[in-house]
Amino acid sequence: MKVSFRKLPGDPSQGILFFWMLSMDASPPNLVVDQFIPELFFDFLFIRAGRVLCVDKITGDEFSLPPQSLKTLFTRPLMFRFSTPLMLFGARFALDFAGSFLAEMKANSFLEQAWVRKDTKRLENFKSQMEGRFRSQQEGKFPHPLFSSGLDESSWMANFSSRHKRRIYQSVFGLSRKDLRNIANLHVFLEQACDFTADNPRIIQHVNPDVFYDQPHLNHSFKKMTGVSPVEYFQASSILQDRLMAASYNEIPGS
Amino acid sequence: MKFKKSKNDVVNDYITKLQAEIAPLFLEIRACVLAAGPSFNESIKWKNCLVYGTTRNHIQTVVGKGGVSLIFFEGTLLKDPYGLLEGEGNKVRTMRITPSNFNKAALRDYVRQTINIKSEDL
Repeated sequence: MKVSFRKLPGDPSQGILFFWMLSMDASPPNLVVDQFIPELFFDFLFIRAGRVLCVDKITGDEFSLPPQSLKTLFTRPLMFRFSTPLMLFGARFALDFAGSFLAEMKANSFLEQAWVRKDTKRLENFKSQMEGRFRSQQEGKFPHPLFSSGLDESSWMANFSSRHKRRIYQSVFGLSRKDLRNIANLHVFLEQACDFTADNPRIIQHVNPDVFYDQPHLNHSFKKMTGVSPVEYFQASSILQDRLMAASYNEIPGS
Repeated sequence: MKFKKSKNDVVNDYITKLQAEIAPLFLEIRACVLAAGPSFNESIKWKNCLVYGTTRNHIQTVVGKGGVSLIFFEGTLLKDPYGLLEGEGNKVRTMRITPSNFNKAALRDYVRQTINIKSEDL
């Protein structure tokens, strides 16, 4: 099977991290399964050719993705079934993007969109259409970003009541702040697993006491969000999400 | 830096950005793994783990200070005449490699054994 993945830089001021294109070709055509775990990114997906079936691993629901959709934040695992030949374009958005998305943001869902022309064939063209669309959109839900860095709240939210903040989080992300923290914690663990020092040879049993109380707590949280154990996660091969993650967390060991 | 290009551009990108002090050992290990397991695909898991796999991932590479660790996901099923596999878990075993202790024959043996493990043995 031939797999090709390309990316182009986005515009961080618009909350767009990067644009990408994935193509898969196999002879004879076949089905490719891809596992997705929760991440703190929004993804716009444009299916140029092929079909993408999505399986919610918790509810068991199966549905075909519309040609253009925005994947919102997920708190549970997802499975994609790609039918080849496949050509998929995408844009990955940071959390800030949610503040400029004026429609209702519902978590764990795909919101149908019509952001690019159906006949788009090249990644450069996809990028220019997407940037043009968001350049013209100036206003957002709030005058300032919700977070100053990471998941730290901006100072302008300091005087709001907890109840009001809950409403804000729900309307912007479709999730509570605790849900966002849980997703962040999942990746704190994965970061450790990928970057352990010589003192911690058994990565799966390396637990950060600031994030997880103990090994059972880690395993429970991890499995609840990903549907698999840490070892099973690293053992599973994923074509799209592995590439998106490598492109998103573009850091080099030891740097 | 000269190295055999991967079919996966993300992997090439990763290798070119490796730190100079660890890159020679990393590339030597990679060449040894790919020679013993020519059917392996390479990919980057999460942000900076190079993994070798076929239909499932078999080996994960983690770069540490002064060395590289290879995590064999089916490590408990491997015979270890060299005594280089560490770990006490139910599944994985780790081979820690530094420039001074790199045993290529052992690595080739572990890779060949890993590839020959069938799904039904798991």
